[in-house]
Amino acid sequence: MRRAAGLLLAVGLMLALLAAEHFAQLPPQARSVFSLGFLLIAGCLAGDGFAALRLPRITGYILAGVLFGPQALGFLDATVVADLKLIDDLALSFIALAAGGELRLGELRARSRVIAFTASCQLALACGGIALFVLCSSPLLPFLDGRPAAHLLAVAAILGAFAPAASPAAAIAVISECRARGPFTEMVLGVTVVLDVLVILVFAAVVSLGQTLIAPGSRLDLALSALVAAEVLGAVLAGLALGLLIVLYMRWVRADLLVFILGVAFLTTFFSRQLAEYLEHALGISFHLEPLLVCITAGFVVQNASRHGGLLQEAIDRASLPVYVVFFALTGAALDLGALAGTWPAALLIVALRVVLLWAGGWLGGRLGGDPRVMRRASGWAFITQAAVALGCAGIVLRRFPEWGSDLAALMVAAIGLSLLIGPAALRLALHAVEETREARDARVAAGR
Amino acid sequence: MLKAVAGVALLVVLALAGHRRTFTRIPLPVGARLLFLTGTEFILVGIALGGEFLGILDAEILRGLTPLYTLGLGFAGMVFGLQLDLRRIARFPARHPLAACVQACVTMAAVFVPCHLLLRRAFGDGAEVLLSSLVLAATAGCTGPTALALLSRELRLPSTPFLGFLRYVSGLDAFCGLVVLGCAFALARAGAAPAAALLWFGASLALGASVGALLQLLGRLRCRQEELVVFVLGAVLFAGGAAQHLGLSPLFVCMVAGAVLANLPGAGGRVFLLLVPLEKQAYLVLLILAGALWRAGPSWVLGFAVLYLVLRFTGKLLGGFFAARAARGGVPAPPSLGLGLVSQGGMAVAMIINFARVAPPEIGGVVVTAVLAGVLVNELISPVLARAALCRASEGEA
Repeated sequence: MRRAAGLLLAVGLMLALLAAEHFAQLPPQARSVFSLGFLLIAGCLAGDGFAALRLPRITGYILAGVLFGPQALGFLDATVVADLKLIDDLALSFIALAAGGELRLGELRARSRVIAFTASCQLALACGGIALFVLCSSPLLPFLDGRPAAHLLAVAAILGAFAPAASPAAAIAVISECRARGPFTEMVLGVTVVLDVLVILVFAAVVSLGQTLIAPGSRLDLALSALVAAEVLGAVLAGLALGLLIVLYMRWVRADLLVFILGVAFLTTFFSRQLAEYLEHALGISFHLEPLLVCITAGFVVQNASRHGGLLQEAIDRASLPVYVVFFALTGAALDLGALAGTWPAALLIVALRVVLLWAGGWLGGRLGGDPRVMRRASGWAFITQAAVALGCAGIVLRRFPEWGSDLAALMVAAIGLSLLIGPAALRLALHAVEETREARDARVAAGR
Repeated sequence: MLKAVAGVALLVVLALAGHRRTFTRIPLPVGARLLFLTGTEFILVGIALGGEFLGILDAEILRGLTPLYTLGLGFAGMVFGLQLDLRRIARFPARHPLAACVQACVTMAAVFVPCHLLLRRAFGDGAEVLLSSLVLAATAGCTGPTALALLSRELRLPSTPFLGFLRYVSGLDAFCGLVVLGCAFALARAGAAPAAALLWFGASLALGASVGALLQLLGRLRCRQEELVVFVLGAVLFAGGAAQHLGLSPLFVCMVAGAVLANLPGAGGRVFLLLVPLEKQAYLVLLILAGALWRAGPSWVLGFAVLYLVLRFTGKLLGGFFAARAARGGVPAPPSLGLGLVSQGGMAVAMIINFARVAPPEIGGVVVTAVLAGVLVNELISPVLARAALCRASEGEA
């Protein structure tokens, strides 16, 4: 009741401020500042509400973002969301560090077989299944009407390559909220990270292929794939260096670790952007070190190449809640509901089929890897959420295919939006089903099992 | 925006390094040691990094740092407001708060009248001149309690009623300064029209009280510490951002929010305990930002700074004299009480940052120079003067 009253009071204050908009005087950033404050409070309260309904908090954060964002109530307009993009990116780097820190080499090694099989099966089934579905249901994609078959082929390949993308950020947020621990949790994180790297590589290759297909007479441009491979390698190397830096700091200084970690997340985003801008302007090369990958690698190095993994986790845990609230609420606010309204039948079908294919891939991977039945059945539900990498793929399509890129990107964003709404709840259910959440562990202990 | 990120990173590193180097025991003479202990030298670091010298924290970066400013100012206002718990204030004799207010008001009047006349002569008669004069007065009214606390620790002074009284006055007088700051912003917002200014002042109070009530409601939820951090962060950003958006003072609005929270049952103590560990780092960031805002002006500005210093000193002596009279009977306070209240402290720095964000560059430069010079000089001389005040008081007691 108090939560509802708090939310109502915050909403009332925000409405009063927006009503007084014509009195606004000072720096335009001030609007972003109070909007961010409102989003933190509203997101956190919505998360609490969802937790009371035994649903993941992050679904509450996302829905608060959607509700108060530019597409619904408009408390945050598009300019504010754009202003806060940097904070969004910084939060993602921080979450990636947390995700990397959760990957323990010993446990991953023990689960390497099932991780490899699950990732391969999901990649193969989701890519192939979605591509085949698109090829067979072209009437669902009106923007391809009257275009040669090569365009349909390109779109099918692109949607296929996009389908297996998962979200390490959502996975780590739900795992952290449920205090989940165990072999299934390790497998989920491992597969999510592996799938993300594979999707980045496969998607780049498919985009090159798609451009070749739709431009008559052109030859396959392998340069893009090579560049993306170099980007992935560069990000891993940068992550190794960053991880070592964090280890050295923890060994020699250790004080104010949380501020240092936040600073590292800040600087990683900053240098990644600066480097991309410099290379673009000075050398005309489009080369982007993905901060997500850099930070996952850095977190992994700290956890596995030093004795300070526990300290890192402890520091990250202390700041994780505001970071999750900001990141997921802004993700919700940035969702294009217009795209969903225009493409929902196709998006719904694609998401439904994707869920089925991921489930099948998870089941098959678990069977080949020798997982018990309960894990095989739960596995597929853990990888539904899509976020940063998938949105990055939509952005690439928008830029690379001027003829129908905007329509396809809208479809992809709509599918991401739907997956964001159902994915976290599905992962929570999966973790609960295999009894790796704290709640399930406590219940097991209470029952004397 | 990216330059702003670099600026933030730099500030964080400096604040961390500074926090390690200051607020600790450094083998230096008492005056210089206290300057280092209070971290005031970070104003000079900020000046060095600012647009006038190294240009690392240039105007573009400073504009991009709006969220950080807002957070810092809101934080300072809320921490101060949380200390305005009427039940705690009322534990002392009624003459104590009266003396604190008398002292602050006399000092502010002593600074306001001559400064306003001078600034009017130099810049004409406008709302920004009134705002500047009031801000100069508000900053002059504040006393830094840290220097006094550190001095008594350094010299291992026994806890006497007079020392307690000095600490009480120095801890409370910034309240009057903040109220004047709130009025100054309301006046400037209303273009110096008194009726409209009253409305804007009411709006400041209403905004602060609403956010305080909201935070009280949220703080009473059965929530984890991490959730409380989110609520406090959200409330400070909301109140500070909204105040800036409307052209009001985030410092004043957040002080009102903090005071409301402190006086409603429930969450005040919990929020205060949450914020206090971050106070020193936030203070250092504000000092650096204040230094970076400094711009060189015409040579007469130095003369104006000296005048401000002298006026404030005179005001403090006069204010101390009247405060001692106001407190008569309750505490054995000597008429030279004002000597113990010369240190200017962090709230004046926060006020000047708040002002510099809205003031036109010419007059803003004059005011910022005067106040920053005042803070630096006052921190240097305050230990010696405070020691003299304490000696006189102990002689009187003997």
